[in-house]
Amino acid sequence: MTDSYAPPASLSFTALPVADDRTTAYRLLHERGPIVQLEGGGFAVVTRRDVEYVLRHPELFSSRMAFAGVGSPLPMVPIEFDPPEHTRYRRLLQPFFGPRPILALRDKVTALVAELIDGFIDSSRCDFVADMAVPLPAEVFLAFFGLPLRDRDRLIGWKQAISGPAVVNGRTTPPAEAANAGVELHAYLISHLEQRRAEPGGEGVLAELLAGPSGDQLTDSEILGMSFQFVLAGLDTVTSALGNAFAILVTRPDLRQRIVDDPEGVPDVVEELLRLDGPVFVVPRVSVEDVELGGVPIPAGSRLFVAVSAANRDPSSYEHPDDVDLHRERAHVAFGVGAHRCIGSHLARLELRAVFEEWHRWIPHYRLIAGTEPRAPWPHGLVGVGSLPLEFPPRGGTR
Amino acid sequence: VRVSVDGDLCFGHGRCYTLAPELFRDDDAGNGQVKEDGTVSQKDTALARRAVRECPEHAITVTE
Repeated sequence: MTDSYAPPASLSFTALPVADDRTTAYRLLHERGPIVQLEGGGFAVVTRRDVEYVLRHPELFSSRMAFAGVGSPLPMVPIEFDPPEHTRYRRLLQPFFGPRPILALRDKVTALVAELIDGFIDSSRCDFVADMAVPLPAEVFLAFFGLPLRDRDRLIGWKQAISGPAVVNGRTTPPAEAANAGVELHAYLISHLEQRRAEPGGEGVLAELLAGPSGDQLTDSEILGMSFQFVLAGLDTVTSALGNAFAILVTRPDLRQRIVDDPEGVPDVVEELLRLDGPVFVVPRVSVEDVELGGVPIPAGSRLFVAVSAANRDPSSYEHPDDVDLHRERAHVAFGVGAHRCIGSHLARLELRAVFEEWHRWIPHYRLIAGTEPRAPWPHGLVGVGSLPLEFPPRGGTR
Repeated sequence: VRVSVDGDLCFGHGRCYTLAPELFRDDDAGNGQVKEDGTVSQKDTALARRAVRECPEHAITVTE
């Protein structure tokens, strides 16, 4: 430690205006950055440079003890592991999540989106979050894993109970309700795994994992840990990304018109809205040894909150970071970087793209129902608007 | 102009072969690889530079 060292200004995540003014929240973090001491303990890492550094150095910043508050009865695979175990998991799982196998789901996902739209289009209104953003990723998970679609609402119930303020408040033991839901979800997954084992065949990731070549296979515990992580990491994230994106689109007729006019350009809209208002506020890490970061000494065993959303608004990395710009040609870190980059990124992008395209094909004109204001529940594990009541002209109508 | 992917840095984000399928392809693990020997034609030079900028892992290099 040098004489010139001054402790970083501290703040609390919960006091930030994340619910309704994320531009200010991220600006406050950058004003106090690059490393912000948190009132509840630990450090927020906010610049894109430092975020990338932490995520690329698992030997210094471990994932192993970072998820203790979540409530999974088994370690989640692969998010709670460091290399080299993590490397093995990724090698076994990546073939299911690569762009080509995911692209094969495109028609299925589009059909699920169209079916959800069918359910509310004639009423000329919906809550985009409850009627689209919540059910779609649950249905996609069930289809992808080869589980019955009728289990959708049970799955959503467990997922709601388990997720919550875990990551952001630094909790290290899950509340009872979350722990119970975790046990029930595990029992559900175990029963399907046993059923698949008793009657081999069928479609989906579970069947394929069990049918895979013997040798270096995942154990049942590992498959369960992976399934559990998928439910926690692959559902709410897509829900929140969709809700946040449509909360922006509803205010931007120009962007909507672009989507209608140029479906080929939809991926650029998806990327920019993920950068601007992605669902992941922070990812947790624990420092393994004493280390210096952004000029700040970090003691071994410190909790680090790696603020990928803030990094995506880093003014030293992006020009006019708070504006939508479809021509940035700059990487964002909404899916993280390094060994733990989101393995579901290709599936998430497919879901977002399918909703952007299909929704605007059927409902090009829509607006917020008067008197409502989208707000993200805060503090919460992810940043996502809780409700987005929309109204639109009847089917085939124009504004 | 030539383009190359550092396999040690790539973690399969898939941006390169999504944005520039003329220059990159995916391997069985979903990681990016250059097509052929990485030679970039005049008309694809801007595309190669875009891939460099959009790679989240800074794994792509263009050499003159």
